[in-house]
Formats: sequence, structure tokens, C-alpha cells
Amino acid sequence: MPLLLCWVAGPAFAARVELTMDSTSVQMGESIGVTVSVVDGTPTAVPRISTPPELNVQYVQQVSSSYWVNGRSTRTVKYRYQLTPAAAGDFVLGPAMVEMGTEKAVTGVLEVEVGDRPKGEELPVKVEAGFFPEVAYEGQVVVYKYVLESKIPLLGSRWSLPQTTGLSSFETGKTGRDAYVKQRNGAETSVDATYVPLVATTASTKQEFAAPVVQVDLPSDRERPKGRIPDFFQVYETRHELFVGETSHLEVLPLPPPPKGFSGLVGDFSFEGKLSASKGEVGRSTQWTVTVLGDGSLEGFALPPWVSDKNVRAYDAAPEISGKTGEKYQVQGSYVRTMVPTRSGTLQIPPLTIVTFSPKKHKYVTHTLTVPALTVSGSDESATVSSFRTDEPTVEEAPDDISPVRASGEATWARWPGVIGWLSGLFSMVVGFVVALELRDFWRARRKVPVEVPKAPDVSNLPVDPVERWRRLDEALRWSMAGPRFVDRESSLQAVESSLAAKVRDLWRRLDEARFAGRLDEDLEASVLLFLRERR
Amino acid sequence: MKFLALSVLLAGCGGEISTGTELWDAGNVEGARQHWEQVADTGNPSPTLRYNLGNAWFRKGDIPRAIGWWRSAGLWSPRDADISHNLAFARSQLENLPPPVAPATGWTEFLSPGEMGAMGLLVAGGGTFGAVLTRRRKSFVFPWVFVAVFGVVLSMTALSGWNAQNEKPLAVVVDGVVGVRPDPMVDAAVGFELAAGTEVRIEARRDEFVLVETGEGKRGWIPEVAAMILLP
Repeated sequence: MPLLLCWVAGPAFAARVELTMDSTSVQMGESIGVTVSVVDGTPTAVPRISTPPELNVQYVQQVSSSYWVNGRSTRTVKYRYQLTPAAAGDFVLGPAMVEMGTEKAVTGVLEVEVGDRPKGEELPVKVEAGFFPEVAYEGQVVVYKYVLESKIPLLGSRWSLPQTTGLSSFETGKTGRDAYVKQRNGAETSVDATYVPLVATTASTKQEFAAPVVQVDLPSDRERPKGRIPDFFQVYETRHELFVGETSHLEVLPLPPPPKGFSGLVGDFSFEGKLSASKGEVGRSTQWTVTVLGDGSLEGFALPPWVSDKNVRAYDAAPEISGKTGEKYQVQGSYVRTMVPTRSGTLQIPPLTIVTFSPKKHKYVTHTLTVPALTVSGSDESATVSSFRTDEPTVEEAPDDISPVRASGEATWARWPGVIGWLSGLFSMVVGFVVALELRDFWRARRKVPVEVPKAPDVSNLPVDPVERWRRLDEALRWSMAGPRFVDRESSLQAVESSLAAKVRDLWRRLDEARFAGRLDEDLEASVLLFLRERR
Repeated sequence: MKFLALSVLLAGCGGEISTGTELWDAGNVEGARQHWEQVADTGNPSPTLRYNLGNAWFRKGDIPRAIGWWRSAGLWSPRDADISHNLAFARSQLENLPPPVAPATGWTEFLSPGEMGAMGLLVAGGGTFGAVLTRRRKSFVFPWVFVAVFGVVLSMTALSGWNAQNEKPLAVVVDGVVGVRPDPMVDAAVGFELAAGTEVRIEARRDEFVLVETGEGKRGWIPEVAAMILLP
């Protein structure tokens, strides 16, 4: 039966806030509920609970309820959390800070007693953390290492790392990771180590950094209730445990006053130079590659500037830097200086002097990089390098004077932009006219009413009835002269020449006699059809 | 036909280049320069004449004026390799100058308004001719109409570029260092200075001052006489 209400805070104003815990004592490996209650208040954010590093409090949910008591309404908002201890001992939980708009309310604190895990239930998990080295100089790279060792299989882990004030990450300082299994006395232990390289930017006395906390997921031994819904979220298959590492310490010493020409490099470095060829040629490029190995950051470092020399031109390429982090940080930088001799002979390349600070020797060190002389052949004519990205740069002769004057050509030109305007305007008008005509035709076509064109009487398939047959031939005769207008006989005759008119009149007379007088004319139909064919 | 059109377009041309070149070849650089300058005063100098004048001023040691004439020649012949080379060479002789300013319309660095206009007229003319022809044949005219409209747009763009070259011309500071003032007044305090050879763009004119912008984007007023203004 959980113990309720350990401490009630006095109200700062109308709203009341409380911090309660399901139990004041808990054992390692267990979790208990913590509640922040707000009565007659409207929180604007989830309350924050001050927690020692040995306790982990995670927000779970929010519940609201309202009551009517003696005609007065009371509204309560409860925020539920889950507390999981990471170490045994007595701890203070709280206070919780509740924000309600511009006002804030603070609860009291709770005392929590965390008991050791029952005997025989100790978890075989171990957490370690620390800086390497623990004493460094300003600008030196240190490695923060945190390790999780486990004798049982883990399902997952999430780290909460301490704030590293006075240290900063850098671009080529990639986090390293090492996971392996070690065997001791026949028992296997999995080790998961992470290495974070950081630059000590600010000198300080011995500084303590908080312990890292890791939440690991372990296989659960809880029995899943029968008949329940499937365990989608694996509530009954995993359980969470918190483990706290140790606090770590780091002391950052200031650098002694730097000598003239200090490169800014802090660490133990070695330098090596190499020429791409022992013999050069005027106008041809020769690469001088300087390789830097060490345990410090190379960010911002560049080779000392080239001393101006009329016998050679030099160009520096962007450096290539790669870093690797383990127990120690290791870096390799490649700096290429391309040199183009402009005169033949023996080219003495001046040595490079680079001053670094060595943490091992606790003093500044001067590195001198000498290069053998370069024998240059070829003519002394000047050359211009148009590209030095490739191994064989393109070299072209560049005249050292302006191009000559031109002996011929027109001396003056007409300023003729007006021609462009006038001709463009002319073309625009013509095109506009064409478009207007097209639009006019388009609208006319749309507004035109379709006319049904009468068909010529069909004489290829004459009716059997004699009266209809003669009538069809009569119509065909008129059509052959007047076309679709199909006017009366006299009018249709006006459409043809007089020689034809007589012939047509004769045919009409014979037709009338056959139609209306019943006079047989065996040759009539053939005559009409012949006339029609001739007209067609 | 082609020659007829060219002769119409190039009205007023003269063959005065070779006379100056003869003086040049004889070692009389000043004589050649004076001759070419006189010819240039008679009309609109051709790119060849402007180019030769740039060479003459360079030989006389006046690099800012040489840059001015070459850049002026580039207004008509923007892709001329000799002009580009001479400009680059002359600029390399001057130190601590801001970068050359870009023209008001970017495309004029690659194509002159004349070339763009000629192209536009050809396209517009072809489109118009095609539209009229297809209209007479009672075919579909609108593809030709679109071609003609595109040509007219090109021509208008050319005119716009020409206008920009005249309204916001390039200029080169000549005859020594000039003080740049925030206002077009002699008694205004000098904000910064421009060395001879600085290539600027004129944004506005007021009285005897011009508002200039440098390749770095700095603006201010300088006396008009301190700059060689480059008109197409």
C-alpha cells in the first residue's frame, strides 16, 4: 500500500502545489511513482523536478479532475512521473517548479531512501568514465572516454553525459567507438567504449565533471498476464535500469608565453616533407608534400607562407586532414605546395620552420623541414600556369604585352538602334494585321449558320410508278439547268444558252404528253438521261 | 543584297584606320593616336578604332584611358579575345583597385545590343513573312506568329540593353585619384577615394557630378570630368 502525501507545500497564492511520492523508500532495480498536483491553478508547462544525478525521474502523463464541494468548484491537475534510482543511499528529491503564466510556484522537497539490491540480485553491469589525460594544456586535445561493461546481454542503452564546460569539439575530431568481448575466468564480458575528442580551450584548476548516467534495457523476468492484448510495446519483455558512472576530473594548464612564430599547434607532432620529383622544368609544376602526424588538432594550421622568390612561384592547396579517436586522438594532415620554377638552374627551397608546443616535454619545440635542391631545366621564358589541379598542369605561353593594333577595318559606325525599333514596329504591325484577319475569320466561322444544300434528283434509281418516274425526270431536267435554285421551267431556261433551250423545250413537251396525255414515247427516257449526262 | 544592307547599316564609315597604322608602324604612336582621335570625333568610332586608341594610350603610359577605350570597344565586340587580353593585361599593371564593375544588363557582357537586335529582327522578319505566306495559303498561321513575337521580344531586349548602356554607362576614373562624396557638391566631405583606372558604372547625373558605383558596391558622387564615360 503506497504511502501518500509526504509533504505539502504552503500556497504561494490561490493555487496550491504538492509533490508526493508513492513510497519514501525504494530498492535498486525498482521504480516508484512521483506526482506533482496543482489545485486551482492552470500550469502552462510540465513542472520541473530538481533531481540528484543518482535518481532518474521521467515524466509519464497528466490527469485533470474537477470536484463540486459545498457549491464550489475545485480543479486538480496531476503530473505523473516515474522515479528510478541509480545508486543506493539517502537522497533529496525536489523541489518541483510549477509555471502558471508569469507566476511560479515551488513545492517542498521529499527524502528518498534507496536500498541496496537484495543479495544475489546484483546486476553484472559496470560503468566507467574519465578524461585522458587528466592534466592537459590549453589547446591540447583530451579524450573523454565512457565505457559500459556487462556480463549479460543488453537490449539497448542511452547515455546522459555531463556538460563539458571549457572544452569544445572540433571538425576533424570524430567520436570513436570500440565494442568487443573479453573473457575472464571463463565468463564473457561485453565492453562498449566511446571516445569523444575535445579541445581544452580554457585553462582551469582541477575541475570536477558530473558522472555520466546510462539507462540500459534488460530482458525482463516479469510474467506476462494471460488473456491480455498482445505485448506490442514489449512492456513485459524489457525492463530499464539506470547506472551511474564516476565523476571525472580534468586540470587545464595555461601555455607558457609563446615564442615568435608559434604555429598554434599544441600536441606532439612530427613533420615530413617530400618532393614529387628531384628534377624540375621551367613552367612545369613540382609538388612539395608536407605530412604532419600528431595527437593535437590541426584546425586552422597552414604551412608558413612562401617567401617571395623570383625563381619560382608557389601555390598552396587546401590541406587534407583526417583524425582517428581511441584512447588517444591521432591526426594526419597532408599539405601540398605546388611550385612552378620560372628559371633554370639549381633551385634551393628554403627550409620550413614550425614552432609547436609539446605537452610531453612541457615546452615549445621547433621543427625544421629541409628539402633537397631542385634541379630545373628548360628555357627561361616566362610561363603561366593555367591549372595545377592535375598531376601534369597545363602550361601555356602567355605574351607579356598587349595584342597589336589592327591595320584595317571601318573607322566609324552608324548608331543604328533606331533601325531595330522601326523594323520591329513594322513587323509587329504586319503580324498584328495577320492575327486580326485570322480572328475575324474565326469569328465569322463561328457565327455562320449551316445551310442544308438540296440534293440533285436521283435518276440512277428511277421509281417504278410511271407518273413518279416522269416527274423525277422533269425535276432532273430543271436541276441540270438551274442547279439547287430549282426554279420554274421558264426561269431555268434562262440559265442556259438558246440552242439548249429548244432541245429542253422539246423534251418537256414529250414529257408532258407522256405524263398527262398518256402518249407512249419509248425513246423519251433514254433521251432525257442522255441529255442529263451531257449536261453533267 | 547582303552588301546593300551592310552599306546601309554602316553608313558614314571611312577607311581611316590604315593611315593611323602606318604612323604607328613608323614609331609615331602620338601621331597615330591623334589621327585616330580626330577620326573618332567625326562620328561613332568603330570597335576597331576604339581598340587601336586603347593600344595608343597604353603605349603612351596612360593605362586608365587605355582601359576605357578597350572596354568601350567591348561594348560592340564583347567576345573579342584581343580586347579581353589587353584589358586583363592592363588591369594587372594597376594595383589595389576594386574589381571591375559589371554592366547594368548582364547579358551585354556576352552579346552586344546590336547583335541581339539583328538576331531579333531576323527572327521577327522570318516569322512575319511565314505568317503572311501561310495566311495566303489558308494554313495555320499561329506558329509563325509566335516566332515573330519572339523576334520582336528579342529586339525589344536589345533596345533595352542599348538604353541601359546609354542611361547607365560604364566609366573609368582617369587623371589621378578622385574623392568620392556622399552629395553632388564640391564642399561635401570626401567619403573615400578612387584611384585612376577604377572601372565604375554611372547611376545618375546631377549638375557636373555623376553618381558612380564600384565593383565592390560602394556608391558616391564624383566630378564628371574625372571619369571617361564609355558610350556605345
